[in-house]
Amino acid sequence: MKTPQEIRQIAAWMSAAGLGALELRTPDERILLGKGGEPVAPRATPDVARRPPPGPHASAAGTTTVRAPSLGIFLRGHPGRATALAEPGMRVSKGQPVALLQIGPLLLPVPAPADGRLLAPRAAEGDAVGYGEPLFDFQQQ
Amino acid sequence: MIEILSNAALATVQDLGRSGSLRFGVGTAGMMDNLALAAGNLMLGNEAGAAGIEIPVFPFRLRFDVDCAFALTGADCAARLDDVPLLPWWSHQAHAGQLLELGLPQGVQRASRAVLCLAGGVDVPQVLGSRSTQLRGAFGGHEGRALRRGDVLRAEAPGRACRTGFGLVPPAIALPLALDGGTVIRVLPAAEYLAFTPESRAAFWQRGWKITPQSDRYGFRLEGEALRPIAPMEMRSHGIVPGVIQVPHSGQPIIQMRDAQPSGGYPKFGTVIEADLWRLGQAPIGSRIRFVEVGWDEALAAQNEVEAWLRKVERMIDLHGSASGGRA
Repeated sequence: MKTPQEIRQIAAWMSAAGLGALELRTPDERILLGKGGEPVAPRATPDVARRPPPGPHASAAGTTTVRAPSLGIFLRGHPGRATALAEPGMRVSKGQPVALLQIGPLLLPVPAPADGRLLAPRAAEGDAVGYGEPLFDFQQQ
Repeated sequence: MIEILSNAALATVQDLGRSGSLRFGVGTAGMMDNLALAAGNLMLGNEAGAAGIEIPVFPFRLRFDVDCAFALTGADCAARLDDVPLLPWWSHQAHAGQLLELGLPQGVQRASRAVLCLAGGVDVPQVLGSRSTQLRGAFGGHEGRALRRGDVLRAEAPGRACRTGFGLVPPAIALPLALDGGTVIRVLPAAEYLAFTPESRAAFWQRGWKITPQSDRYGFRLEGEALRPIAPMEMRSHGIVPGVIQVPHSGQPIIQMRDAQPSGGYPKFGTVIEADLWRLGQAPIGSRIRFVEVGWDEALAAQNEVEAWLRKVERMIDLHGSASGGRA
């Protein structure tokens, strides 16, 4: 849940960017901000998001999923390096970056959710992915 | 505090340079890759001009004696913190006792100098308004000299809560400038340009130039087809700045770099534009560079592009920090 200070900050950014309306969706809330006659106000609807939050999620097969911790452009490797951060089948340790998300000039890590083995990628290099989208299958160990 | 564990030949404390003292005969010094310093500082929430450490010779090792956030930019040196490999152009949190080790530069576009920034900046006294090491005058930086094994440096704000664990797309990729895979440097023709033969002027732009081993923070000596003046020139010494391309009698040009002295007497063929000095500062010895002629307006536009990139980086880091609400 966003705090009133955060809502005010977002409203200030909207105003600075000249945006008339903004919708923000996360796994547990949906916020609509608009400019006009009505005062800018948050409207939280906790039941909207059906997407599970990021992190490992057990499935029937015993594998889990690495999900996007943020929105961004999915990158398997660092743009300054020729190789991927991790290949399917590789053993990785909890917290180790297995891919990156690019937002403009920023690069954010996609950390391994646990010690285990990285399985098949679920997104392609250069895909724009949203918060919580599956990026890899993952075998926890 | 950090302790240098390598005989760190030629590693120096540098900020964005000592401006305003050329009239006293004091050169600017400053980080060869000023963009890497500014970006590394922004990642830590420092002033863009806070002092960092320029590391041109590898391997390089140091130990953190206190917890301290740091950023590594510039050349990708396959760095490791204890046994954990680190991503380049990235901010990290070190804990007391951890070892930072930088290996040989690697990567798609191999650069030559790593830049280490610390939370708050490297704490050395300001001399004439700057923390840069002035090697020729033996002042500024850490005791006016290059670092050596056993030196202990302090960060200004090692305890500051600092968001780490993110990186930047390196500017060599975000602001690309290449021709046939080689480094391209933009140059303004300088005062004596027209005093060289038309053949030499044409060859300067068309041929590649090799950066010879006689290249350092003072200047880059280039090797290529000799530049010939129409008539021999003898000049009095006059003021010069980093980026000026001089042509001595041999015809092999010298580009003045950050530790250049503030005056010289060789004819000036051109000047590397300010916006490309970081690019040139990262070109490895033995590599080849090409020059492209630009005018004043293009030089200014290039500088605006670099500054716009830095502002965008700063804005996105602010957004990222506030959007995450201090969770990390």
